[in-house]
Amino acid sequence: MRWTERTWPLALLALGIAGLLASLVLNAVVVAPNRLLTGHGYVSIAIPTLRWLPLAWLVVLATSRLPAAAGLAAAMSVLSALLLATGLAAAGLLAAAGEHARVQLGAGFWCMVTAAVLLVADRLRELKARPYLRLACWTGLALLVVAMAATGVFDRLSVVQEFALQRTRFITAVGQHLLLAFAAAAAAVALGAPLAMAVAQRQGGRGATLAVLNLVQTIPSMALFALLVAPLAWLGVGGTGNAPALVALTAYALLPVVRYTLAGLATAPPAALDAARGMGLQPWQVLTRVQLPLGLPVFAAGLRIVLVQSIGLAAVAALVGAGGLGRFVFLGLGQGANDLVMLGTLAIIVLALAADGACRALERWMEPRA
Amino acid sequence: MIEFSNVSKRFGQGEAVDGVSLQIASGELFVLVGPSGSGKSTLLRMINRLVEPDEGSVRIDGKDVRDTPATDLRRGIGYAIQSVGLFPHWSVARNIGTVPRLLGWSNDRIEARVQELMAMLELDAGIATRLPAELSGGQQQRVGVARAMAATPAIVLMDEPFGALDPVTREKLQHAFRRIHADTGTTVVFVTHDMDEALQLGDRIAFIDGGHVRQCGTPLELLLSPADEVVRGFVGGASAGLRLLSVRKVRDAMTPGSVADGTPSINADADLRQALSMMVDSRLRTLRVDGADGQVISLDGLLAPPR
Repeated sequence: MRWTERTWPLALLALGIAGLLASLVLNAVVVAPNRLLTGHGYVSIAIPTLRWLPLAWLVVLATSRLPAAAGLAAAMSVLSALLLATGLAAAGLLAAAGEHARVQLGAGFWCMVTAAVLLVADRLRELKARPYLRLACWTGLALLVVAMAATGVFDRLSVVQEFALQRTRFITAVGQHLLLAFAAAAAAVALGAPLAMAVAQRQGGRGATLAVLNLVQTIPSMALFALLVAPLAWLGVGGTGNAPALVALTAYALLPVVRYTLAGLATAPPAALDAARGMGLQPWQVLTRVQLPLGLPVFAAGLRIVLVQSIGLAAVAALVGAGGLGRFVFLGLGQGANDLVMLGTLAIIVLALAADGACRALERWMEPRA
Repeated sequence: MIEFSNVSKRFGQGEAVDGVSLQIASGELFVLVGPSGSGKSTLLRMINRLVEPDEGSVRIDGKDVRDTPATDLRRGIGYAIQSVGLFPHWSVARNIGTVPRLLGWSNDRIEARVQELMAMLELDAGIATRLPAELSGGQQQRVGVARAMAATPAIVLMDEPFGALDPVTREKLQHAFRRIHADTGTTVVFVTHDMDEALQLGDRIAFIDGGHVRQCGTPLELLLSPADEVVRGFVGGASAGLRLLSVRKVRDAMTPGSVADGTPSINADADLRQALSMMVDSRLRTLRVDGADGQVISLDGLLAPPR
C-alpha cells in the first residue's frame, strides 16, 4: 500500500492551478485615466515585469513531488516576487499613462496573493512546523512587505496614492475603529460574563438567554443600527454617532461572550466541582480557584472571536454616523471611488488579522498553565 | 457518632431515600453497600449537606448538620470520590493541601502535613510537584484519599474511592486504607457496590436497596443470617463459603493441638481463606499458628460454626 503513504497534496495542486489560471486569464492590474473612471485591465502575461508569473506557478506545482520545505520556499518566493514586481509594474505603467492616471490592483493579483498566502499556510501545516518557525515565516513576510512599502515600491499603486491623500483622516479612522471595537468587546464582556455565570447552573435561564442572544444575532446589522436610531434619539443619547454603534456592536458581541463563558465554565470536570464543593469551597472559591483558571484558554478563544467580529462589524457603524474605517468604504461606494473602498477594506482586514494573531499568541501562552 | 433519623429524599438529582434510620459509631469503618441507584450515595452526601433531606435529620455528635454552615461543616469532613476529582491545574501537593489552605494553616504546617500524608499513602515524595494527569490511576486515587484526610477530619466520606482501579491496585489500596483507618481512628463512611470490598473493609455494613436499609450488621451477621432473599442473593452465590472464611481470622478458629516439626505456619491475624489456601497448597489438614504456642488451625476448625 505504498501509494497511500504518498498521496497527492491536493491543497497545493488546487492552489497552484488557481494561481496559474489567475496569471493567465485574470487582470493583474487595471490602468484607469483617473481615480473615478473605469480603466483598462492587463493580464500578467501582457506586462513585461509580470510575464514570468505562469512559469512561477508551474514551479510551485512541480514541488508537489518534493518535500514540503521546497513548496514552502517556492510559495514564499512567488509571494514576495509578486508583490515586488506588481509595484514595479505599476510604476512602469503609470509613467506611460496620463497625469491623473491610477494603477489599480486587479482580480488576478488578489487571487494570486490569496493562493500564495494559503499555500504558505498549507506547506507550514504539511511540514508540521513548530510555532516559532511559523511565526518566523509570517513575520519575515510581513517585514518584507513593510520594507517594500518603506522603500516606496508600492507608491505608484492606487490604494497607496489614496492613502497618501487621506493620511490624517485615515489614521484618525483607525483609532476610532479600534476604540469602537474594543469598547464594544469590553462592554460585552462586562455584561455577558456575569450573565453567563449567573445562568450557568440554571437549565431554563441558560436556554432563554441563548435564545434571546441568538435572535439578536439574526437581525441584519444594518437593520439593527437603523432600529436603534429612534429609541436612542428618544432617550437623548443621540440616534446617530457612536452611541447606537456601540450599543449594536455590544449586542452582537454578547452571544459569543456568553457562549464562550459558558463553555469555559464547563471545562472543569464535574468530579472536580463535586470534590470542590464537598471539601467546603465557597461558591465564589469554586469559581475563582477551579472554574476560571481551567476555562482560561476557552475564554481567550472567545475574546479573540469577539474582537475579530467587532472589528469587522464596526465597519457598518459608519452608516449611522460613527467614525471608523467604514467611512472610507461607504464614502468610496458613494463616489464610485474603488480605491477608497479598497483602502478601508484592506485596513479592516489587517486589523482583524492582527487582533486574531495577537489573541492566538496569548492563548498559546496560557495553555501550558492549565 | 453520626445518626440518621428517618431521613427521606424523594426528588432531585440522584437516588431516592425512604425513611432511613442509621447510627454510625465514632471510629467505625461503616460501609453502605447496595446495587447502583439504591440511594447509598445520596445517604453519604447528606452527611456533608451536598444533599439536603426532604424529611428527617442527620446529626453528628447530637448536632443537626443543618445548624452548621455548609462550607464550615464540609471543611471538617473528608471527602473522596470514585472519579477522584483532583484539580487538574494544581500540583499533587497543592491538591492535598486544599482544605488546610482553606482553613488558613501556615505554609510550613501544610507542607509538613502533605509530606506526612504522602508517606502514609506510600506516594513517592518526588511526585509532589507533578500534575494529576501525570499520575497513574492508583496514584491519583491515593492522592484523593490523602486530600480527604489532610486536615485530620474526625469523619471521612468515601464514595466508591477504589471503584475505577484494577483488582491488584484496588486490593493494595484497600489494605493500606484499613491500616490507615486503624492507625488514625477516624470515622469512615464508605460507599461501594462491591460486596467483597464491603466485607473486606467494613466493621459494620448497611445493605441499602431501593432507598431502604435491608440489613445492618457486621460482615459475619450479613453472611450467616441475611435478613431476606435480596440480601442473601447479594452476599451468597457460589462464593458464599469463601466469603465467610475471608471475614474470619485464624485467631478466631484456632484450637489447641500439636503438629509435626517443619509444618508450615500462618499468622494469627490472617483470614481463614488464606489458611485454606495454604492447606490446599501444602496438602496438609493442619497448620501451625505463628506466635500462639500449642495452637493449630485445622480443616475441622474451618468447618466448625463461627464462635
